[in-house]
Amino acid sequence: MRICIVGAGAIGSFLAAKLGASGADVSMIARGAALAAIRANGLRMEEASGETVVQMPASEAPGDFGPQDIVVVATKAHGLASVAASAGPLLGAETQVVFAQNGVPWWYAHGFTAPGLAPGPLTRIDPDGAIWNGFGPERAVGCTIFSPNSVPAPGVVRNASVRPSTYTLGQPDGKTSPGLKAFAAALEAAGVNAPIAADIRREVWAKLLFNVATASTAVLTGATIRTNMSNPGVRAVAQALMLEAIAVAASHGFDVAADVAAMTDPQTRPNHKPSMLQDFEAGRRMEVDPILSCVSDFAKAAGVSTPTLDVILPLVRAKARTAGLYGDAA
Amino acid sequence: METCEHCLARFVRRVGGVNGEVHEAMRICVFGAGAVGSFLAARLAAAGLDVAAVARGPHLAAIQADGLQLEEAAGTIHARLTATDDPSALGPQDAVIFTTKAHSLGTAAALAQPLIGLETALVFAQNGIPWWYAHGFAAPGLDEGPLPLLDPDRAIWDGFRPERAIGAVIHSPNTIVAPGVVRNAANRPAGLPLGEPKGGASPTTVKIAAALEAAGVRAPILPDIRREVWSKLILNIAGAPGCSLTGASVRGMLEDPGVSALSAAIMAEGVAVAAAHGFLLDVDIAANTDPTRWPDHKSSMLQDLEAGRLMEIDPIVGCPHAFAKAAGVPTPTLDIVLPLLRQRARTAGLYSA
Repeated sequence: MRICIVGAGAIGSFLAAKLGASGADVSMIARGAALAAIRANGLRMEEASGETVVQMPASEAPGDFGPQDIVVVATKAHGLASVAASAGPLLGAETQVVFAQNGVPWWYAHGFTAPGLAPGPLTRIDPDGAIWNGFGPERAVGCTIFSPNSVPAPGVVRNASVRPSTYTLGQPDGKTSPGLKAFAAALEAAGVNAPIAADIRREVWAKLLFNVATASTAVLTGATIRTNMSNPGVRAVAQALMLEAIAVAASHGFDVAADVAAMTDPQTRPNHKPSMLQDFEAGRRMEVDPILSCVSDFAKAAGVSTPTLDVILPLVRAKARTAGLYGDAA
Repeated sequence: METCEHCLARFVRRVGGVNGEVHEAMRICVFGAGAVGSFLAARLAAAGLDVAAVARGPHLAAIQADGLQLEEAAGTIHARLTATDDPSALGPQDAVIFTTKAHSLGTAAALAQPLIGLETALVFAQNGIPWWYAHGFAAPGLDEGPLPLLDPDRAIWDGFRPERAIGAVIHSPNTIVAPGVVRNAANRPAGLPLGEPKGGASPTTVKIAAALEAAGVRAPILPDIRREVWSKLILNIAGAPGCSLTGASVRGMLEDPGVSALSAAIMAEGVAVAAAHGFLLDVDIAANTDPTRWPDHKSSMLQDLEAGRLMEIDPIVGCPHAFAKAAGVPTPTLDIVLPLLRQRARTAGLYSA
């Protein structure tokens, strides 16, 4: 099957390297220094088990590759509209597109109803419907990621985990097309866990409630997750945020009730900074809307009270905006 | 004791005052000549008072070499005064005005002893809730004694003794623009209202108030300086954490409707805590969270954070929050914001506790 990865950030580079190393037919859409490095030297992956260099076709022009069986879009959520505008040549009638973003996905309301949820694109992350109309939600495959990767240099990806990474996949309608099944098999063959979820939205929420609590507090304190959870006051705020996210998920019909005490136990939390704080410190646009604002919007629409998020979200948004790293600033 | 009396007598001299009247010059030491302290020292020196400053670092070196320069709208004052980092070089004073930050007072209590004689007036000009707050004052859940957040080991309480404290609230915006140079940005006369913890006006308090007035600093002696503390604190209790957590100016922060709303909520919580302590503040919260009414500058707490200075979290936010808990006043917004603010400061190595 023909697979094209769009975006040479941490997730895109990891998937491309893994799939390429396993012999899959994979190409990359990349730009700038990453594209130059991949063309010159191939894509280098550093793992606990060793280093691999993978050669693969790379271009910034989707027209160079033509229609694919699977496209994986691994840009940030706020980069999706411009990908939608340019990805046409990669999309054939049967092409499915896997969206590997953090937070609430743009296709969330496709074939799904919840109290107060309007059908169609989410105004917060797809205000003019450019993503919705550009890709079409029928092609979408959701994906939640447990895969700690970083890009130490252009064309180089480092995976910090000793365990296999997990990319949980699922169509918005809960069905499994032959193409999706084949893609999951390709990932498994490449050493990546790729379960197909019966309800990918539930997977989104299960991860999101952790991100809501840890990303927002980390952005405001500047501390790692473990440091924050070691501070009883901050931990209490994080737990309150988790419970609010769980309540919002419940209003959408998802029981993701979790042991918030265990989830905020500093002993079991990684001593690293969440990606939203990393983005802030590196001067990259922050994923405030998909991770926080959408949850708040859902809560307001469904009449769920989120007193803690109501305090935290404006502070995070103002911090991002002040740094020029919020959607309406950059 | 004799030595102290001797020193006091030796340094009292007679000079012409600002309006030509003759009064006794006090020996005044400004302890911790940062922005506010330097302003006061320059004004007092310019009024002919015998002023010494305890300062540190390049600012001290500049004052020693070239004197203190105070830039004001009305003109620039060049003041020559004694400056040192060693209080024992100065001997007992008629008055010591402590303008250090609250978290330095424990150290100051030890260092300042050579300045303190039997009659020395001790004026404390810090931001937020002062260390002597619970002296001679009853409020729900508040006991006589040092405040755990400000004075955990009683070094301030025992070092100065609250019966001797004169509270002061700073109404004077100053910045150190270069070593030895302080700029006053006020469009109103500077104010340093004073008050004793038990509400009296002892001769020492009257004397230092007169000296400040002679220096053009309005220094009324208030029946309860705590009310004045609260009135000023309520304006900072939201802006300080809001700016520090977002990095925005006060105006910038309030321009965000969500942050403006939570600032109003924090102010209302502060008003409720003050009320639990018997102070019914007349605060127009809507006006005070209107961004157009605030200058586009950063709260001093954010300035401290950005400059790598210890942040005054406990005097401005922590103590009111602790008072609320003790008095059973709900503070749902502060409950969220304060731990984040403390961790923000800790992450930067700028939390004192």
